[in-house]
Amino acid sequence: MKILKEYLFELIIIAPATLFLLGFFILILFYLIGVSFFPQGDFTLSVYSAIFEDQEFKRIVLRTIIFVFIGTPLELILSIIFAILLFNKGILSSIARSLYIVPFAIPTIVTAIVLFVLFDYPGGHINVLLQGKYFIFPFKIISEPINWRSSEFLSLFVSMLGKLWRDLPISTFIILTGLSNIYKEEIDSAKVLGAGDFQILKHIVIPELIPSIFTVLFLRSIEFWKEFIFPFILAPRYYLISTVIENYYHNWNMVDKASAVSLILLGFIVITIILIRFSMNLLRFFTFRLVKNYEIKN
Amino acid sequence: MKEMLRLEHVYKTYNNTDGIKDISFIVNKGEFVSLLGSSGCGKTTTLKVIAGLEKVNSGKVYIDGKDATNFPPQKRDVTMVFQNYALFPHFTVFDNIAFGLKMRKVNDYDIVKKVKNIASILEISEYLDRKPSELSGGQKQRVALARALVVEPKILLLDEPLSNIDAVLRRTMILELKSLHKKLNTTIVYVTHNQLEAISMSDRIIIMKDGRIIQEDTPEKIFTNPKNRFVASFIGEFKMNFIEGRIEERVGDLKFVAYNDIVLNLTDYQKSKLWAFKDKFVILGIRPSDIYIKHPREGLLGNDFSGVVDIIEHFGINKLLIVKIKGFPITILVPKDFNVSENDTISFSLLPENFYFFDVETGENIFYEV
Amino acid sequence: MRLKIKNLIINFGLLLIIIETLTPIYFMIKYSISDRDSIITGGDVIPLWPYHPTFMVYKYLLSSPKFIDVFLNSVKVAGFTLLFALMLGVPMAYGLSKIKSVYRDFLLVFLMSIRVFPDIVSVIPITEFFIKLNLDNTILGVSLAHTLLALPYVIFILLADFEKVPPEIELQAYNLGASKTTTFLKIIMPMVIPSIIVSSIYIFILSWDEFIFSYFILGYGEIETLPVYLNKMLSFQPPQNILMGVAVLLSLPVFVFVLLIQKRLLINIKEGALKE
Ligand SMILES: Nc1ncnc2c1ncn2[C@@H]1O[C@H](COP(=O)(O)OP(=O)(O)O)[C@@H](O)[C@H]1O
Ligand SMILES: [Mg+2]
Repeated sequence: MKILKEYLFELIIIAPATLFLLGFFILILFYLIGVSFFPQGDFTLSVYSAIFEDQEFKRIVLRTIIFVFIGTPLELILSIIFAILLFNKGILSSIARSLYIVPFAIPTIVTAIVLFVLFDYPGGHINVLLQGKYFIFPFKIISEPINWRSSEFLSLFVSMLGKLWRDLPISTFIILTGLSNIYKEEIDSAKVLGAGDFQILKHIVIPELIPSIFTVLFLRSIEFWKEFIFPFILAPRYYLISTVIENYYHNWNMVDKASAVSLILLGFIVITIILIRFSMNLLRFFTFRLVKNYEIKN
Repeated sequence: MKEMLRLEHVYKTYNNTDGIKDISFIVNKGEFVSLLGSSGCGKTTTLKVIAGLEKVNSGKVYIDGKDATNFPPQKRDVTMVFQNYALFPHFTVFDNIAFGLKMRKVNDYDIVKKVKNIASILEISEYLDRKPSELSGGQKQRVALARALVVEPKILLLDEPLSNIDAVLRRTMILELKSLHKKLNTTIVYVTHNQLEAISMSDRIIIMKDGRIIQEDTPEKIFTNPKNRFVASFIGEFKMNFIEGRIEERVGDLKFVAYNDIVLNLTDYQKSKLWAFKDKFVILGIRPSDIYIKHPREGLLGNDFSGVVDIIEHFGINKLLIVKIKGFPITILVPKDFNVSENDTISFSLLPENFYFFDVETGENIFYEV
Repeated sequence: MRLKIKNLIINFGLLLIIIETLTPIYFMIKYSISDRDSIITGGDVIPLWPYHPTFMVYKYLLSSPKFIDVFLNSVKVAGFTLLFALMLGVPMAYGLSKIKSVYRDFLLVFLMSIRVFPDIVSVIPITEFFIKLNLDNTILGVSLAHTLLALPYVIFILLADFEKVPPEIELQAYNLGASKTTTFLKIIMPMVIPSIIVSSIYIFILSWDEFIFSYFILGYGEIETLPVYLNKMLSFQPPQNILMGVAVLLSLPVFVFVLLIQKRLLINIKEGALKE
């Protein structure tokens, strides 16, 4: 009550936005729970059991897990490589840095459609390129054009490329920030103490990057779970959890199943967040050891 | 004496101007040599060139008799302690110290032995299990020192190691570093902008300015025989007094005259050289500690003055008086217990044997002995 | 020698990054200025640069009533979103910055957690709700949904700025007799104008780009925004130059705005990454 009196003016001005956000929050949660657990008014798990009995859905979940578990580490590794490359000074590096922002400046749907066109079958640029028909790349990798959209692996691979193209700058930026927090003198110290490039990477750079690495893992794994537009445009035949929600809703008009799958997706995301947070905390107790099993006290 | 380090005409410039130019000097085995100069004069750059962390534009670096100019840092056996210590934050103190040994593929048994040994010498044995973030500034510095020393480098480079710790601890560390140097007999190149550190520890001091070496000598020689006005004002705890005046002939005798009123007698030796400067301007320098305070009943000593004490500043066991003679301020160092208060008049004598003379234009010490 | 090889590898890698970043944009522009022969090659290799570059597509699109209509819809949606998000977000951020209580942080975390819902999860409840309110297929409906997406960002950006305003300034205003409302509108608001501009650009871009909510709420009705239009075009297999022409015109405002605020954007990414 005291708070009410003290902050009356403030509470009044935050009320509209609070109600707006709160209202939608409750709406979303209650709607999803209501429709999926109480389709006819009474509590039932029938919607969920129907989904889980569906062999196709199991495949979709597995496919999504693979998508997340390949995409996230791939993005992490690439972002580390990119960051290390960008960390060097020079003209090329400053050009590359100034282009960071470019993928943000292109709407996601546009990126997806550009990839759609580039990976067209049979005459898209990528097919032509891989057939070695351009003078800039005279290597014949494939003899026949590939139908990228008709293969489960390839269509999801192309979706992942799109996602990586769009999100790598952020991840690279996070890693680069971590890199620039390492004192140059630490690297120099390691050098004068005899460490080579690889040892510096292994003993100094990577361990000190761990927090940034976790940030990337954390943000990116969630991103890969939620990704919708790229698979929607580029892999329309091979559903992920996100795209199957749209399919249930628009094509089959099954609001209850769509809601149930939405909650399942939310569940996967929450579990991922908890897992990564947990391992982050574990890591805090973990020390990097250079010399194992020594006794300090004689 | 065996030569351990030799720089020959080393140039290392950034943007064509900053950096170091034509640096040459030799450090013998077991010697403690300081590079002294104000911030930005190229001290750190010199150390980096010695460590191989910066490539020279031209010139040669010899380490232990071998031309090491193109050796990578890993091959030089020269370790460096950085100004910010640069401890590895994710390693314990033990692993920080062990790092260099590990890189040299020393076996774990010997590593433990050596780390413990150096830790006990530097009195950090209790902290071996801690992370750098759990150490105080002084402790961090010892760890950095231990890390650089434990590999028994040919040369140890110290970059302003005492600049980040408080004055009291600095005094103790100066003594400790000195005794550590005696004990381990490591060849040390020490960088500082603090003349007191350089004077109290070094066998030799190299004074740098704007990327060049100005003077190289023992601490005593640098103090008594500064090459120019810059060195004279840089060395010494209290800044030398400088008075611009003319060498004039007055009744057949050569005198230093400032402001027409202040007329100073000179020694015969001084006169013999200053004849050449007759009717020319020179700068006279005298250290605050070299000004002689007279007892009230003491007779004339020559160059006697009396003046009013304007300001008194306290510096530990000393105090500094700013006294006006004929409107011109001069600083005089007296012991703490010297009884004087502001606005008192005191008598003192500027003894000619304590004078330094510098060329007005070049700032060179006219009496510099090579 | 080893150093040379290392430098070579680094520069080669950097070159690849640059090419990788620019490739999609290059081809988008290339297609949009392609003539017919450069697209429909009749089995020949599709050229890397059009045989006869032309702005025909842009002329066609900018004189097509349908395209203009869709473009204007996108502008309207973004405009309404901007209005709503600022009207809700600015007072919210200011109010929050004034409340010094632990409850505030709870509230903040709770309200921000609405971003945990992936768009594809929150879109169905909202669409169904809007259908009940007859807000589906309306510009207002899409704008409200976009407001929901934008609001957490607006609050996040502005809150940081309001907290930087020294409290003495307000006390001084009160001291001189200004009311809380006057102080807010006349003194504090003008001090955070730069952040409001940045937030506005954020909101605009977010709404302009947004596909999922627009697609669900507008369904297959009459009204379309540019991203929805682009998606719908895809199913009719249009000539690629027209498709890419739309893509370029959709990207252009975003591109300009992002360049305008790129410094701030990077800082916000950094802060955002640290906060997550
Ligand atoms: N990496 C660098 N790039 C450009 N200029 C530098 C670099 N390192 C040092 N400098 C410049 O060279 C001069 C000498 O620097 P430094 O050796 O660090 O001086 P000190 O250690 O004596 O303070 C300074 O003017 C400094 O700005
Ligand atoms: Mg320095």
